[in-house]
Formats: sequence, C-alpha cells, structure tokens
Amino acid sequence: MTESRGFPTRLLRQPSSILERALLNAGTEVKASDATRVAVLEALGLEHSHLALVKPRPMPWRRGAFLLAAMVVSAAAVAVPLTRRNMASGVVPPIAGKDVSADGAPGATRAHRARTEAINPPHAESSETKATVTKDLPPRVAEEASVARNAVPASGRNVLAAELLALDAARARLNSGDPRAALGLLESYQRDFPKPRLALEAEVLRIDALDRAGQSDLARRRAEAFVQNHPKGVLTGRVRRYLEK
Amino acid sequence: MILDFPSAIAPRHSHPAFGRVREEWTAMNSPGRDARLRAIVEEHLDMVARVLRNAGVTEAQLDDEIQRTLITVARRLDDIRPGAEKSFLIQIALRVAAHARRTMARRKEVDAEELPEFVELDRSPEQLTDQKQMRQMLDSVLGRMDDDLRLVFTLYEFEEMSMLDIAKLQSIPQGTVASRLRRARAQFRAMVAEVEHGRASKVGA
Repeated sequence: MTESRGFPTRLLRQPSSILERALLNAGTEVKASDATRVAVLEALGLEHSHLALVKPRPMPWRRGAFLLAAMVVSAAAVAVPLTRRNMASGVVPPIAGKDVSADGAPGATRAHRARTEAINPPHAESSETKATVTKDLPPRVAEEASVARNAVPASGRNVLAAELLALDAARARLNSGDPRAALGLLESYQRDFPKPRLALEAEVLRIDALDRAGQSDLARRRAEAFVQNHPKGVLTGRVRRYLEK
Repeated sequence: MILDFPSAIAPRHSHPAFGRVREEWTAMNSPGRDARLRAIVEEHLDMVARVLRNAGVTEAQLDDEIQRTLITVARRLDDIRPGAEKSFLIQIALRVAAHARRTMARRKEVDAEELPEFVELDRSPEQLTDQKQMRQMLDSVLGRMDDDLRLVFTLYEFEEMSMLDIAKLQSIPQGTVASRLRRARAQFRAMVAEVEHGRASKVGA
C-alpha cells in the first residue's frame, strides 16, 4: 500500500493477487435490475414507461411531434440537469421566469410564446380569472390545450410527453394564481387523454386547484377517495398532508 | 413565486414562516421535486444496490432494501441540499442495511445460503471468472470483518470516497478513518490469504 500524503491508493489499482482483484471487482460490479428500477419508480409515483421492454415505434416526423421534442429538449436544458434517459422519456420540469428558446421549427414560435406566456402571465391577467370553468377557455389557455392535443402522436413515448406538457400548463396556471383556468385545462386533459398515464398527478393537481378555487368540500372528498384508492406512494403522502391541514 | 422553484432554493428549517410555506409547497404539485427524484434514481440506483450489498444485505433482500432506501430518501427530499444527494443516499443505505442485518440476525430460521459461507478456493481459472462464486466469497470475507472496518473499507475501496468524506459521513476524525482503513485492509488481505491457502478461519482483530 502506497501512502503518499496520507492518501493510500485504492486496493483495486494494485491488488496483491489475481484472487484479490477478482474479489474487489465483485464488490464494484453490483447493479440494480431493471425490474427493481421499475418498482422503485412506481413506488415513488414516477413515470417509468421508458423502461418498457418493448421498443417504442419510431417517432413520426410530423410538425407537432418535432415541435414537442424541441420544447422538451430546450426545456430540459435550462432547468434541472437531467440525464439523457430522462430527456428521452420526456420529463419536463417547469421553467419559472426563464426564457426558453426552442429550436427553429416553423410552428415553434407561436406555441413557444404561448408556453412562456402561460408561465409568466402579463399583469393584465386578472380579467381572465373570471372565465368560467367550462369549454369557454380564454384564448391563450385554449391555445395551450390545443398545442398539447395536436402533439398527440402514435408512439407511447410522445403521448407521455404530450401529457406532461398538458399537465405542466395546468400547473403553471395554478401556480400563477388561476385555479379556474387550471381546472379547465385539466378537463381538456381528460378529454384528450382517455387512458392517461399521469392520472395520479392530474388528480393531485385537480384537488389542489379545486381547493384554491374555493371548492374545498369537493377537494376534500376527492382527496379522501384518492388516499383510499392509492394507499401507497409519495403522492399519497402529499394528499394526506392536505387532508390534515 | 416560490412554488415554481426547484428545490435548489428550498427554504431552510430555521425560519418559522418558511416552514409554513415549505409545507404548502411540498404538500402538492412539486414537479421540480419529481424531476429531482427521478434524477436521483437514474444516477444513483446502482450505487445504492452496491452499498447495500457490500454492507451485508443478501441477494434475496436486495430489491426490497433498495426500494426501502429510495422511499426513505423521497420522504426526506426536502432535507437534502442540492449536490448532497450522493452522500445522503449512502447514509440512508447504510442505515437500511444495518436494520436489515439486525432483522436477519433476529430471525432464527435463516436459509443456509444466506449465511456468509466460506467458499472453498478450488484453484481453477473458471472459479476466478465465475462472478457468482467471487461474489459469494467476497460476501464471506466482508461478513467476517469487523463492522467499523468493513464500513470504511467498502466506502473507500468500492465507493471511492475520500477519507475526508468518510470522516464527515460518520462524524469521526480523519485519523480514525485512516487507521480503520489500514486495519481493514490487513484483515481483508489476511482472509484472502487464508482462502488461498485453503484454510477457513476468522481473522482476529
């Protein structure tokens, strides 16, 4: 063992024997199985379809899909550092106050502006909060919904990205103090994605939005049902905390 | 608005007002939180498996203990400073492993192959390349080391943590880490030598 300035070389760099090297290698070669990875993500309430054993079909090269990919990629670049795998699965963290520059796709600018405006609404917003929570959505919000809808293509991975985008828009609305618009977007989400993968996230969002829109009784009832139907997972912890407030 | 910000600027515990805001913030809809959690799983899951395994968790227990570790980390995500995820994960994994070992010891009906059996060295080249056998042998060697020494040994040799970081993690002086590492290596080497010479015995401290 070489002691230079009190920093001994790792044994693996200079094993005394072949057996020692083989044993030390065994110590470093432990991996978590794919099955465990999926189980962990599921337990944490995180999406894991990108780990499905079936290879997803190649992405159809439509304008909507390209635009979506551009926004997902550029969004990921400014927010939380994500691994390549994350980006492929379409995880889109929200961007507060950041200027997202999408790639130069023809349709990118309009939807991009809609997206950043959704996150940083101009102050003349207040008149829009009077919008009813039905199909009559204010134009900007309706545009966000249609962006998400148009971006729904065939392959599983992109449906997920579209769902994330839709929920993202709803969250942004909620966090900027417009729970009714958020509820409207959530209704669109329900219509656009009949078999939603992010149903749990959407429900938690809905509970929050209902509560903030002044419909606390309904929010409570939905929260109680949620906890009953999904006893495990981190999301349930959050809902429970809401119920305890 | 604080709700949109990723946990990089999560408010500290000390200020009472922040405590209230933080509670609301974490109660619902933290997409930054989800992304952070996902990144932790993507980057560190194998490391968690390794730390657990080398701390004495058996193959049969491993998947459950990996899940237990990550769920614990997820619950305490707000306590983790950004950038400190790795060391937090290791701490939790070590605690989970210690608990799993205690549970194992308490259960009288332990499967024969769960015990760190001393694997005989048959001196065949195949054995050295047989991962399963090498792993079993390593399990038995590590299982026979003193807990304190094994801890420093595995963190230094397998996780490649610095002695300073190990000292911080365990809240012990660096000198103690250095001396434990020396003794751990001595134990390790002595036991490997015993295996090589075909004699199975526990090496005294």
